[in-house]
Amino acid sequence: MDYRNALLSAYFTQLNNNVVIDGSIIEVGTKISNGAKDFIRYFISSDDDRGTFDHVIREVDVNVDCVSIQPLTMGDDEIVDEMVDQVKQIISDISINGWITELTLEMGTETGSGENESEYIVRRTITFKHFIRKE
Amino acid sequence: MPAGRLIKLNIDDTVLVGLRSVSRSTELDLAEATTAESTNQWKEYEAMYKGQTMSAEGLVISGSSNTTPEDLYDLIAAATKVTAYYGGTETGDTYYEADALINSLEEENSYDDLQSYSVEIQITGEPTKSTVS
Repeated sequence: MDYRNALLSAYFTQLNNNVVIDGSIIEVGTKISNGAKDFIRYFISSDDDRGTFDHVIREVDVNVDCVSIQPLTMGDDEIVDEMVDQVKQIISDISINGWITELTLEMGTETGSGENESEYIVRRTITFKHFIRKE
Repeated sequence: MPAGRLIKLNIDDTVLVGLRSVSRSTELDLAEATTAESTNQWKEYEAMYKGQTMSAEGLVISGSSNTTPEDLYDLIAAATKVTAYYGGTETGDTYYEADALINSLEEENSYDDLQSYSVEIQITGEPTKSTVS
């Protein structure tokens, strides 16, 4: 398994096991099923070579989208804010099999919201920077 | 085409940690010997003194036993003369060794990046050329 798969697998394991909203586990993944209302989607947004003569080192940024889709009459940001708080705590402890995590940084949260005819959509995107080195 | 990573820069038999680049600069001072009698007004020069510097950039690798920026700092603080090794390490590779002084060390420590450093080494005296056996 290469480092990208290892990193995404670690995200899935950590987020799927640990994010609990209103007492329930929510959908987590790189792909989200149609109709999901509260979910967390993540993807690698950049991947740069920081290797040395003797070490493989990658600088990998991962974006995590925390999304809640609600009826217009119930729209609020609390669910997504709770997701963001939990994700930040969980990802700070992430580890990757076969790789040494030199540094993991939370690089800020981008906020966004909008609505369509019947739904209110809240999204927060958190970017995490990982420096990982081959063991 | 050989890769740049095959060239190592060692200080007293220990390679610098986390090397990302190694460079060497060699120069020869010239004295101008042009006179009114120079043939067809071509400038003339005489060779004078030779000099050499080496430099490297790298990342700090945790847990490594190679020469760290901290080690380099200590060598500068004590003005210690070292042996610099420049070249390949495989059998048949050419390498050069020379006495040297470390005359510059820069360390970068940004909150959102890995620790990195750059070092400059002034060769003192004549380098010796050898082949790895």
